[in-house]
Amino acid sequence: MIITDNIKMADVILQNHHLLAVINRFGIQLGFGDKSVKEVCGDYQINSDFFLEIINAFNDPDFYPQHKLEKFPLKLIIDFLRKAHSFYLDQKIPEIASMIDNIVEASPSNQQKTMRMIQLFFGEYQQQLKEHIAREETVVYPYILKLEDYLQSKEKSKEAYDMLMIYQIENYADEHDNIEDKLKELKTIIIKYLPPQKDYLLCYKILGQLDHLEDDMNNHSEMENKVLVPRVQIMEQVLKEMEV
Amino acid sequence: MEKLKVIIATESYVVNQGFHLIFNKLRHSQVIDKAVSIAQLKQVIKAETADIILISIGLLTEEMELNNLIKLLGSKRPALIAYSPNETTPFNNKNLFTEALSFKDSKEVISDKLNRLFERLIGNDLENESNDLSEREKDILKEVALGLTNNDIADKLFISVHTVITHRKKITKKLGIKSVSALTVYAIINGLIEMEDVGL
Repeated sequence: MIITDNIKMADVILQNHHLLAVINRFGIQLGFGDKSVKEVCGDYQINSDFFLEIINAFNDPDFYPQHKLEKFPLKLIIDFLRKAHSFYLDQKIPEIASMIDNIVEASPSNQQKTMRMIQLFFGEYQQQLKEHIAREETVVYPYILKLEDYLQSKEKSKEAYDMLMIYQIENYADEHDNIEDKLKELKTIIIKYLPPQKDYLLCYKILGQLDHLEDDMNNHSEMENKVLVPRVQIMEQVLKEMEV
Repeated sequence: MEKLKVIIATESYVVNQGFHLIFNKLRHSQVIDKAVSIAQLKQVIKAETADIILISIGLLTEEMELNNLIKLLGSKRPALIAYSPNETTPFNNKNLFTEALSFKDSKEVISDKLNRLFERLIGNDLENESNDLSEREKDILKEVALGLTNNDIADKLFISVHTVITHRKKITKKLGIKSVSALTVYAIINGLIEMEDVGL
């Protein structure tokens, strides 16, 4: 289904409840009654064109927004990506971590070794994700925003130009693969090697949460790799050919 | 086991969706991206590495198009499958493709052809697909988990680095895990090494 601005927001969420996480990123809360997507966006002062591109991209993996997203300033896209980061680090990861802690605590003593290893592996994943996100937020995104600013500004200082020429976006896409692989490995390890637990429902919940996180992150990095990176590459090309 | 990554490029959205379903139903393949034009396919190729690319010959009407694509793929050249969308489009450069499918192929023909292709790409692993690690693979895994590099392991076990890498690839295929830390977790859970060995 392609979501348009005259569809009721409630119907959007009813047909795919995972989109709750996306509207949450826009600051939209439940309680929209029978309002349409357009009306709800109006209430929250959200650019509804942008909202539609994003929500459709998350709803249907075949919906490629890259061309349509071209018209939006990178700042808007980066703001959205930052919100996703805080969703991962402040909500999803702590939630999964505490579930894993609970299951480790409740497990019998003869399973301690295995349980401890799973806990450690998750801890390592968490650390790696934090570092990756920190790098994006402190290095990659500021660079992109400066680059966009510079190309739009009238005064082009040599100093700013030299600063921008130091960094290149090229190798950035590879960095995502590692993070995604690790999440998949965690799932594999839990499915294959987690010994039977009394609270098996909690195990299923953990797997469900990991699955949701994985889907969300795949969408997130698609947006970075397919929308952000190509646009930055074009800007870098313009910069290179510029005479300062 | 790791799946073969597939990119689909035909002029038709409907056909792309169909192939998407077919490839994802098969055990050894997974579609990573789709395109409906050569321009789009080129973008996809730049962003992703595939093991198989299915291209409709209807997209290859410009004379040098296929050569340009192959140039773009460079050294990591995936297997190319040609797809005939109708009876009229001429099928040139047959020798550059590993396999050819037609819109008239039945379910059986398609799955036969694809499975044959997968066998060739994955090698013998398809037939004697034992999921248990061999003793040698366990030895290698142990060393990996202890933090040794491929070079260290080669020296220690008197084998070539190339052999170490081959073993590691097989281990990853069998276990579905690749990173050193996940392999360490596996090694400890399965008693190949002790937690103390890695300072835990």
